[in-house]
Amino acid sequence: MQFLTNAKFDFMSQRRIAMVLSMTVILVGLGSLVIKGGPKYSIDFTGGTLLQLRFPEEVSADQLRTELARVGLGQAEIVRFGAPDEMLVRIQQMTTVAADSVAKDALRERWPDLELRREETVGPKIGGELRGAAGQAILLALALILIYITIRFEFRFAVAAIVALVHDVVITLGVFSLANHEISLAVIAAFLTIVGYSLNDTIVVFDRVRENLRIPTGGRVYAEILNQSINQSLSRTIITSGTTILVVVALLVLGGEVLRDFSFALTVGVLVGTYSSIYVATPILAEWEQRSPRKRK
Amino acid sequence: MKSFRWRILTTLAVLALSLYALKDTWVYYRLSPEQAAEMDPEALSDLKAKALRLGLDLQGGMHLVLEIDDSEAPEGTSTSDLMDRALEVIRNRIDEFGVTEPVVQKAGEKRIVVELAGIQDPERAQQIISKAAVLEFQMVRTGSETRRLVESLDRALARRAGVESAADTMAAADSADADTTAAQVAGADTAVSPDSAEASLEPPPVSMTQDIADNSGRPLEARITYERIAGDAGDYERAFVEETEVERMSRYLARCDSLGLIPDDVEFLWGSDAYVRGAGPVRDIYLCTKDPELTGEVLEAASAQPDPNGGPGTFHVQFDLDRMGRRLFSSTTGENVGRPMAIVLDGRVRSAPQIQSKIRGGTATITRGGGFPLEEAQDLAIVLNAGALPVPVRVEEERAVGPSLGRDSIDMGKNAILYGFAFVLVFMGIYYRISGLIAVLALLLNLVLMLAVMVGVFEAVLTLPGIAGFVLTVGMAVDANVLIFERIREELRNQQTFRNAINRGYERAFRTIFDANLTTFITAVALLWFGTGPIRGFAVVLAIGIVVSMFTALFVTRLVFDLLTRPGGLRQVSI
Repeated sequence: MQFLTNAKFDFMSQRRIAMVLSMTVILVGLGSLVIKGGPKYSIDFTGGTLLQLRFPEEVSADQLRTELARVGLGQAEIVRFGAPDEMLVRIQQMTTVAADSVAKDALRERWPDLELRREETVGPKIGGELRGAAGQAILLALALILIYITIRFEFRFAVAAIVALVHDVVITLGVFSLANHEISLAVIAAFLTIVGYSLNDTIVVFDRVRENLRIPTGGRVYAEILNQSINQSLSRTIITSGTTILVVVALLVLGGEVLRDFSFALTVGVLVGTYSSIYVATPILAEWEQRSPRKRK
Repeated sequence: MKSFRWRILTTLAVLALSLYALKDTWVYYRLSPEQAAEMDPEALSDLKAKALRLGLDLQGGMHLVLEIDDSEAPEGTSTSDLMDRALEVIRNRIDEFGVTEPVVQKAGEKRIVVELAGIQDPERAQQIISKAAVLEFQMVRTGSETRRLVESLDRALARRAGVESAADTMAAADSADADTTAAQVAGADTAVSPDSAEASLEPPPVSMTQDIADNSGRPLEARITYERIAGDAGDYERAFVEETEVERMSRYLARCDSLGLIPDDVEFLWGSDAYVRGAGPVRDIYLCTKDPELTGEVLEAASAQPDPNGGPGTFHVQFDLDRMGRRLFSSTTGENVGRPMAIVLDGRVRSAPQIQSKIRGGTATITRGGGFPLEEAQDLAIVLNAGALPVPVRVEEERAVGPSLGRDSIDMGKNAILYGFAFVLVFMGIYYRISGLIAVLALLLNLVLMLAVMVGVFEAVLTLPGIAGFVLTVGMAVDANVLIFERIREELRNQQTFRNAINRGYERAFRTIFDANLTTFITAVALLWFGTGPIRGFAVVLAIGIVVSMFTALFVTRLVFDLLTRPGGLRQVSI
């Protein structure tokens, strides 16, 4: 089976439309971020406590809240987690150090057979450090990539690839804000994976561009070469994105609640990453060429 | 094709090595609980050590990050000394608690990381590890001494309140000040604070000034009740405070202390437990000599023993003193017959029995009204035996996963890999036919090799994000083959022979694959550098997956194609 073998889509002429589309999505996401006062960080970064609890019976969030309010923790975030007898309690950092044991004791008084399936407590100090480390890791990765692509390709390729990556991460961040998902350590890992994946995709297209640029142009315009390169790698792009999306969705559906945010970030990221290689990274090369044409040998 | 020999040999050797590296893992994880129970424990732990290690999030367990608080350490002690002592004490406690293969290590200058795998009760373990366990024997001052000091404190407080109430603004500042003091005291959980939970329940406080006026200038005395007790060695007095007033009393005492009103050689200490007396719960308060007569250092051994004074099934902790301790104990008790001596643990008075005569034997007990349940007595004995932490430690991070969640995660991970793999198999089979199946075969080999490298080379730990890394690899690793196949198809469209198409396809795709994978590798390295625990597990899997997939997708599938289309073999393979 084969498809798109002789694709001759004119991607470059659609680049302005794509730009409007991207900007719209980014602005909506940023708007949501502004309204909500920044990304919703998990306790990994803010400090606080997360309890995953299994109850001997079906319980409601209100029941839990009543018990927790008794000990002054009524503002805790309480959500059902997968099964009807399983709940997740999140308590943001507060003045009392032992909020976790206070909460557990209060709930155990009502449900003595409570099973504590997971607990994560992060002090404010470590939370701050992790935030710093996450930012550094992303910056480090981007810097290394910039250097590598400049060496292997050209500086403009590196810039185009980085813009596409930032585009992907910003959109995913916006979608997270819109969907009210939390940014945790695992989600940062997913973001870096998106960076890696999107880059992989972009490099494949750029590699074709690099190769096609070596062939004597015969009067072809730069945009045509770009179009040709995308079309030549289009079938590969779709297959690889397809298999990756399949497994990521498998992870999203079957991977359980603990991994849900992580898989969600990956799903969004793979889709956006595929789009951005074609409609963001490559068009930047076209725009760049229009402004400062490459010197032909 | 004479190069076939070494290429086949290389492939087989890599496969054989991998299977060998995974042998112990295979055997270990297929053991049923009964079989494991039958095995020689040493052989079992040896086998376990060689098998793939599961992260705490998969096998259940606890990860703790503790930070030592050296702000009140005596002058001249270095942080690294304190750390070494704290590490030793924590190791001892864990050993006594009985956890297999604990990890206790330094992380940075002031942090200690503790990892306990497969632990059933993380809360209990945390208590044992982070308890300061400072044991002291302090003399209790007499009732009349207590009264005198309380009266003088009351007078000083009233005087200050009288001055401050002259201006409303000052009074506001006063109450704000008092609140911060209380918060600090509650947070630090020092001697004079009640349980921190109570702090958050407190109704909006009446200002100190108002309160002092309400109590006719005797805020402390008005809250203390004295009681005369007839002991065998003469009468003595005891003082207690209603539990609801403990918080406010603590605040006043903290304030007196910060104002330097309490003499340096004494301190107020609370009883460790409230008990019901009359209308409601009360808590004892003691004025003690600050310098302890004895400390936990003279303790020889502590153990949980049935408590003869408690109900059935209750226990107390009995401890013996060493020679030095016995001598000190004997002389102290000889000098102080008739006075109560407080047994103080972590700044709370556990009990304060009256010294009836000089005690020569070196045995004492710690208990509480009604006795301890066995587990609590045992835990206390553990921490007393292991010794006190040189400085307080604070739990900065705790991550605990129950064993049932770990099992669920493994099952889900297996399912996700299985389904992901099945999807890819079907997809590649339909799109690339036989060639697609070759790629899937390579993918399978890829997964085996990845596991083998994890176990055999890096001794890496498989975490839940690590499983996600495997799933992701299933999707992404076929990319190299997809790139190659697309190139081959292009060459075929250009009327190349199948053999030529294969050669050129592999050659031309190589550079693309290399560049694309290297950049992904860079991000994996950035993740490794930043990540902690589980995230690291993901990064390791991702990085290994990238390297291994280059081998399987480029080298192994090429070999298969070359073998199939060797002279005398197939003309072409469906692609």
